[in-house]
Amino acid sequence: MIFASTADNLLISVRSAWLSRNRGFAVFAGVLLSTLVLTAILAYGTSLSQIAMQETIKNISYDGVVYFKNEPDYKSGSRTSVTGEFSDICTEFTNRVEFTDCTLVFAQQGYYRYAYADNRWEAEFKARYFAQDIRLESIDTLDVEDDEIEDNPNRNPVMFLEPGGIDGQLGNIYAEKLVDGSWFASTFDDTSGSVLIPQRVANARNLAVGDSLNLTYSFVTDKQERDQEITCESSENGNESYLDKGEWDTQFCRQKVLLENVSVTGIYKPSEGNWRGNDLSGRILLTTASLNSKQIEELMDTDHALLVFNIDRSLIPSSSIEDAEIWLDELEKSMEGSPSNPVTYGDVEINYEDGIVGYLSDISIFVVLIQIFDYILMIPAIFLSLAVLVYGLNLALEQRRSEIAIHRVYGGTNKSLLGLILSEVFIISTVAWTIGYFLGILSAEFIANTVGFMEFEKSEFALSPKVSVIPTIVIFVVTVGLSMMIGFVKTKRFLSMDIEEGIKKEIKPKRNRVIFLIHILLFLLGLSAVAINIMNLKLSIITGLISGLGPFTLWIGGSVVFARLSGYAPRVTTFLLGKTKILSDVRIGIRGSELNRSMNQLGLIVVLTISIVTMAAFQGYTGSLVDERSASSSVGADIKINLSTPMSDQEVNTLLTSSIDNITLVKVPYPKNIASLYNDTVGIKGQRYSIDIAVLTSNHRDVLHWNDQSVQGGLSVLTKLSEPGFTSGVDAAETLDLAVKSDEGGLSGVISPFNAFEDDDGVGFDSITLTYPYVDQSEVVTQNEVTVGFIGGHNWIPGVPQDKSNSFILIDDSTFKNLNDNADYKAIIWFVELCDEKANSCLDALEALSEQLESNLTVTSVEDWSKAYDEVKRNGGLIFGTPGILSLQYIVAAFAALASSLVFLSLILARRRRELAILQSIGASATQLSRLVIFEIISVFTLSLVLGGLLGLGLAEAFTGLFSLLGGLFQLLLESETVIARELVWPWIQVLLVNGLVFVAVLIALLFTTLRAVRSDLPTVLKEE
Amino acid sequence: MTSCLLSASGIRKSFKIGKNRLDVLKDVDLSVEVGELVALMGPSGSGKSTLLNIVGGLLKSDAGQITLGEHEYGTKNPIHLNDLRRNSIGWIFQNFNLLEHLSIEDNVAFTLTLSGASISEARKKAKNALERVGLGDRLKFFPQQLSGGQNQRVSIARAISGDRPLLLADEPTGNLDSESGNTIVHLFQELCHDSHNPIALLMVTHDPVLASKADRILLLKNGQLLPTSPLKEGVN
Repeated sequence: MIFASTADNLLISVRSAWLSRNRGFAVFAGVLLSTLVLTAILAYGTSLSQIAMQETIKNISYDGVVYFKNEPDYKSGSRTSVTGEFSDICTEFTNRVEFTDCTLVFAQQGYYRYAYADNRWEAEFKARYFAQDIRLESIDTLDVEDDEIEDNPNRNPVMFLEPGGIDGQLGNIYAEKLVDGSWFASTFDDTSGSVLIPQRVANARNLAVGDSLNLTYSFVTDKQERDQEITCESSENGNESYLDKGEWDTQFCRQKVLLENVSVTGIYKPSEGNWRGNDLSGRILLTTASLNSKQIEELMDTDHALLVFNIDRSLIPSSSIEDAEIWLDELEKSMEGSPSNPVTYGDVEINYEDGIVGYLSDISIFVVLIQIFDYILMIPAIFLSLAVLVYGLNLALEQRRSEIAIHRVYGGTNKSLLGLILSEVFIISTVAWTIGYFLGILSAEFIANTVGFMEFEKSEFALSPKVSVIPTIVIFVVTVGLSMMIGFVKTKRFLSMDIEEGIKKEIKPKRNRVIFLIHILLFLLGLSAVAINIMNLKLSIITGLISGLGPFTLWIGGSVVFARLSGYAPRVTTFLLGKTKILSDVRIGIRGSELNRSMNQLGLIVVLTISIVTMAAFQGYTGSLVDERSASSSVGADIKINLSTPMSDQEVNTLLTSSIDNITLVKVPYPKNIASLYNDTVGIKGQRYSIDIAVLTSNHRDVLHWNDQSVQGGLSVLTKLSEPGFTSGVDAAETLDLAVKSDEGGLSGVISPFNAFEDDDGVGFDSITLTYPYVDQSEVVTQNEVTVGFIGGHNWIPGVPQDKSNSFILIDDSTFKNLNDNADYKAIIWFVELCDEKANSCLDALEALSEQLESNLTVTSVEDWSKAYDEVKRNGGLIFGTPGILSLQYIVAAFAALASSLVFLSLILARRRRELAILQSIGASATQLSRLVIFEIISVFTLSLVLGGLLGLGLAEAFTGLFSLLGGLFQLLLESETVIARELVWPWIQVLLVNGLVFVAVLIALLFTTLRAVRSDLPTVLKEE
Repeated sequence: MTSCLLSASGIRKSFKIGKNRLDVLKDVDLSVEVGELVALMGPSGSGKSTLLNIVGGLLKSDAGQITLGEHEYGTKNPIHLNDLRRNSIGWIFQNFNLLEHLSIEDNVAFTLTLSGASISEARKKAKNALERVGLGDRLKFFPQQLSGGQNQRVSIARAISGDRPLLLADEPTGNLDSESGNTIVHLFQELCHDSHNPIALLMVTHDPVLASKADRILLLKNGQLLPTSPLKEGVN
């Protein structure tokens, strides 16, 4: 019985929901939109961590290493000195599905974090310093200098590979980076006497493939803390030993071993990948075939053996960082066991050092920060969608007022009427919620794949956006629950009204002056944030607080104030056009929206949505421009080349021409121009100190991607370099005590290094005399002198790392030639102007040329604008994820503007159907009715559009302060070299396009609905109460 | 001497209800003369309001011809009859159908501005019309501030304000108490029998007392008008 009654009620509710679908559309649109926004942003959060995780893992070269669990002199039964027994553990690893590769190598000593101290941090630290490498001591008779293998923080490390290392994944990492020669022979015995060396060593020693040399490596035979006694004795076979004082109060005995007639088989460029902890990069590579059994045994006994493994990364859960961490931890436990219950391989206990989890822990905090920031940015869109829901629902329910009153007349009980309305709202909002939820999850992948404002690219990573159970319930409660709550409150109110009042068609809205006053105050607070940003006031707690809150208060307060203003539009229209033929016959009928709640709400929704569309477009395009500028400042030009040896422009031109000629797949133009950046040191006359100079060729303006922000006073200042003049970085300016003025230090100026400039009074030297060559005071040489005028501070020099740029003074080559007896000079850093870097064809050309140049031995590294721009965009540019969020806001707000306008218009006109019928009955023509309705509604709508646009401009300004502040922080966290200020871009076309589209759509909808109303059955409509 | 203002002949109208067609009016002929107050009576569903809506240009008939002054219509779509409604017919509804957001003065004046009058001229005429129905002292009142009888007088003022020759009233006293109803009927009589500017009025009513005040009563039954001469006596 109860079930039958419930089924009946449900059926009645479904039918009722269907019959009132026009009104229900408002509820549907509101719930759909708010669910979509909330789901998309939460699902996007998971995608963000998935991307961050996969991006991080992608750059990890190998996944982990295995050492012995215990030190050689502790619990010796848990170790083995037999190479085969240790490498057999690899077989047990690779027998498991989780591991794809494992090999024994000889390189770094074991890492025993439990061995040294109770304090965990100290133990970790000490363990790192006690884990020593096999090291290259000399090539032929010359000792290897530390800076020859700069890419590795350890000194000149050597690695001996076993057979599994040659054709395994570790070997592949090196093999892929070969620039000359070949990888080890496929037959292991043939690898004896072969060595692969990093390019830097080859360049430093003028070594080439095929050269034969004698190498001396060393390994650690004993280690002690500094305060302990240690004696280093030569070995029985005469190998020399020496005492090596290490860092962190450590000391080691190292024994040298000579390998004669080793032949250079290949030269490689060190990998750019992440090498954490146990650093196996940038090594001199040999195989154990070059060693005799005694030498291998010594390395084994002195603990230089380790296993290197790789995991099947497709098995790592990509759902979240946390899931991946748990999976990796479980794997580690299953291979290593616990301290009390270790896993043994024979008798051997192992120390499993995961190479991935540490990275994931690092990024997880960062991702959480980014997610929080992104959620804050989405507040307006969330509010917007909820506003559409609340107002739509209010409007739709308001139409039920008289219906409820009539039901009451016919004996409907409060309970039954409440049940009817609530079940109707529940059915409509649940359907909308389901659709919105799945659309939200689908759209999260698009947002995550945003590489710039409204630029979507397929990600290289597999993403599975999801929202877990609790947030899903929260979304349901917020959206469907909110509709039910409004439905409940509203229906209760209708039920508490006098029936007569309920039947009345329209009730003049009551206005709460206190709430409006609060909105005015919020608006004024927001305006203060705009003023702070425009006036670039200094950052303080108050200005920071206003700038942080201002964008949101401006939006909320401004929307209400502007919506109220837009209500006066019909009066203004009547005042302006009332006496013209357009309106003279219908002007009496035009009513102000102050009398009309739904028109007010339409105005509010339009102001809310259009302001977000405007703000998102302006900030989105600004972000894209900032990305371009970031790429330009880091690369400096279309292409930046770092050479291994200095070259003249003729030599660089030849290098470029031959490289371009070798490219067949892509059409690469010949360079339009090249410029060099030469570094040197000069003295300052009358001073004891020296200063670093950056010398740019005179054509640098044609090649380098300068930006007005680069130099104080703008780029025009650079023309004075030839006068002669110089610009100075902030550190150099302090050293030289220059007459430089600090930057304003406001929110948008937070990025200038001169903000922190101490001597900010503009007093100091305005010219200095440079002396060259710079020599120590005791030396006597003839020096040239040139006096140069200070023309301004530079915030950065394109293509120069920020720290170096800060310490440089910049002069042009005519000044330097005067210092250098007019002699020609050669530079290591060169910039190339190739093509229009923003054109697609150019991007391909830049990539092809940089790859070709990379393979050249004389080139240390190449950076191209295309790759840098891609990276900046991928990493989110100014703030990770912002382009996606702003694109989402733009789309949601544009959609909300369009959908809610149409929904509201449909509801408003439905309510005015009877009014239009009355006017027809007294003789109003279709054109008169259309003019009446269009001028009344369109005037409100147009003014709302204009005011919404204005509010959007204010929001864009207010958000600039917030973005600059947070963006600067993020860039510092990301260790970005140059921080670019956000100069607002004004994409009028995109904004006008959306506004125009919404306007035209509304106009068409208005004409259509008015004509439909005009064609309605007049007698029936006129009989309606 | 009397002159025919409205003549309708052969009016037919049927409605499709589901799969069935219901003939509501069957070859109805009708005429109303200048200065005549005519009551149209009949049982519920007899087609009274349908006939009135067709005569008033709110509904088109399936067949038949109506002549009102220079206007000839009947089967024309109501959307094209706004000139007729604006200049020749004044409507008085049972539920008044006033615009609630306008003062009663503007409710009346709006009708006139739609016909091209200036606002000042329209308000002047509206004031005259409202004074004629006894509401000259309530010009700035809004409909919800007035009683039902007063609202109906506003709708009469709106109907007569444009010097329209024919008024159509659909159950004009249906929502009013008897005293207000009597006032309205007296007003109708005055308007129709005004020696300077008599108008014709065709009203649908169920109220025999009201009908008895009419000059002539038409009885509609099963979609057809019964002969008129004995009817008034019959009603009496």
